[in-house]
Amino acid sequence: MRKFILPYRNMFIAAALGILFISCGNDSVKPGDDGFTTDTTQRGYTIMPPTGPGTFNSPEAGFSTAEEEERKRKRELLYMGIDSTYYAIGQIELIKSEMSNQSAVNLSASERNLKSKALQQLNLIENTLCRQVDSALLVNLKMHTQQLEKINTDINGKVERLQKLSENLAKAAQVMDRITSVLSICVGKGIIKPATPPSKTAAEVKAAAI
Amino acid sequence: MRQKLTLILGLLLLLASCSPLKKSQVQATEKFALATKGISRIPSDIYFRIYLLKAESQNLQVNTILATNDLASESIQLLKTDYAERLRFMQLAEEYSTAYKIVEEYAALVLSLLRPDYLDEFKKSRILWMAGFDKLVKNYNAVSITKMPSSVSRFTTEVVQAIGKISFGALQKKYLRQAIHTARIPFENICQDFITIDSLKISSELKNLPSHLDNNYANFLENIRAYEKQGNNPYYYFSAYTPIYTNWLTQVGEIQVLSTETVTAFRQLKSTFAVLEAYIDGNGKSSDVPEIDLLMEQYEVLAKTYSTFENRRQKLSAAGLLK
Repeated sequence: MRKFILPYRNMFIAAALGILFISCGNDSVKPGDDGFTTDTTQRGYTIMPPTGPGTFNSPEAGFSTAEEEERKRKRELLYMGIDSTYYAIGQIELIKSEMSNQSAVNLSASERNLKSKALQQLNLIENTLCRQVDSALLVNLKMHTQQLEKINTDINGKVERLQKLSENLAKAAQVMDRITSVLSICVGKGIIKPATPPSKTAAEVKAAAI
Repeated sequence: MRQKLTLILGLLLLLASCSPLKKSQVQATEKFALATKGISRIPSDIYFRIYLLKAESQNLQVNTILATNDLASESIQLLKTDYAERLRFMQLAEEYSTAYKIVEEYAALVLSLLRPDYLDEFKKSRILWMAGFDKLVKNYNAVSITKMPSSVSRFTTEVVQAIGKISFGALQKKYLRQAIHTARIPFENICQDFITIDSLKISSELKNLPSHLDNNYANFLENIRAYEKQGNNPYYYFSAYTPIYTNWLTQVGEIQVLSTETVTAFRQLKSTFAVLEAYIDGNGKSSDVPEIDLLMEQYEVLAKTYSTFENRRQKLSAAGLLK
């Protein structure tokens, strides 16, 4: 081996130096804005099999423990937000199914109108829930819940035949209270940065969300 | 002596990373890029299907209010609200599709480094491509927990600027391996997000979707029944709207199949990336990489699924049972 290598030593060194200088136009070793290295020769993960998040050779490898913890925490909050949101949507659907099971044969046009408006408002609440969690979502949820309460007041003031519907809407309001609290925690804990109006500080927006 | 040998081996490896790819390596990369491009379109399709279904059923439900409203101005306001909701649904589907569009666009760039005909096609729209890609990355970073490394945008800018200035062979030699290496972490993160976060959202949507559609349709039927009670014949309403309801049922079934197959495909994509990267870094002598063949099979399964959907739809539509 030695016999084979030695005569070509200079050639190898020359080739090595040449390659180092022209090696695929790589940048110098420096982290990007995001903390990722921009140097392709620094990748020690090339042949490592992917594993679960948070482990050394996972896609999240390369971040410091604090960053990793923060991302893990945000991810858990995200799961909690998704779970709670769709649980609430499921509860609203149950309420709507109860409403659908109540016969509307004897209802007048104005009573049917109220029932349809209540259903539409519940649809709007569901739509709002399935969007990204931010402070605007919380404001919209509060607005829709208030409109639902208004419809309920109209129903109570009108007829006894819509008593059951009124009870359903009261249940929906309770669901809304609970989910609004959960989502407020998500926004408060920074699951997604709430939009900060120019007139307010970030702390004020955060406090308002909680 | 050992140090020298290590240095030499290291340099040979470095030399290999700058050498042109072998035919088998290019073919493996092409298969991977084509599968990636096709599979990455599906999450967007799933989201659009879900939100279009919701929008359509809610539009039908709103009609029941219009039919019983006394005030036309209130009805007009309602129509505007319904329209705004539809736009928000589209916006939501676009937002949720951003990560997968990035993958799709990046796969198009990789393809352009694989064959001159792909490159010719890419060249025609490369300026627009660059602007669109940067916007996608910006949108993704605004909402995602895992940010896109800035090295990705720097790399794509460099490649797009080099296109047209250097030959296809030089482009491939200089950028193809780097294109694979640069994409590794964000690509795997995006796949992981689909497997965990998006699949959770989609399955949760699917759990509630049948009930959502039924309750909106039931509200519509109540009002048709009232119309009938007034002495009208509702036959034409039913003949027009029953195929719409059948379409909803068909869509829900299709989305369920698609989401299951897409999760499998994304798992395959994620695990195959490391294999491809190792393959193109190695000598690539072996002509087949089983993992890439498995990925292609999964891609073909999805293509066949779409074709089955289309056949079924054509038959149902021909019978007047589907709109």
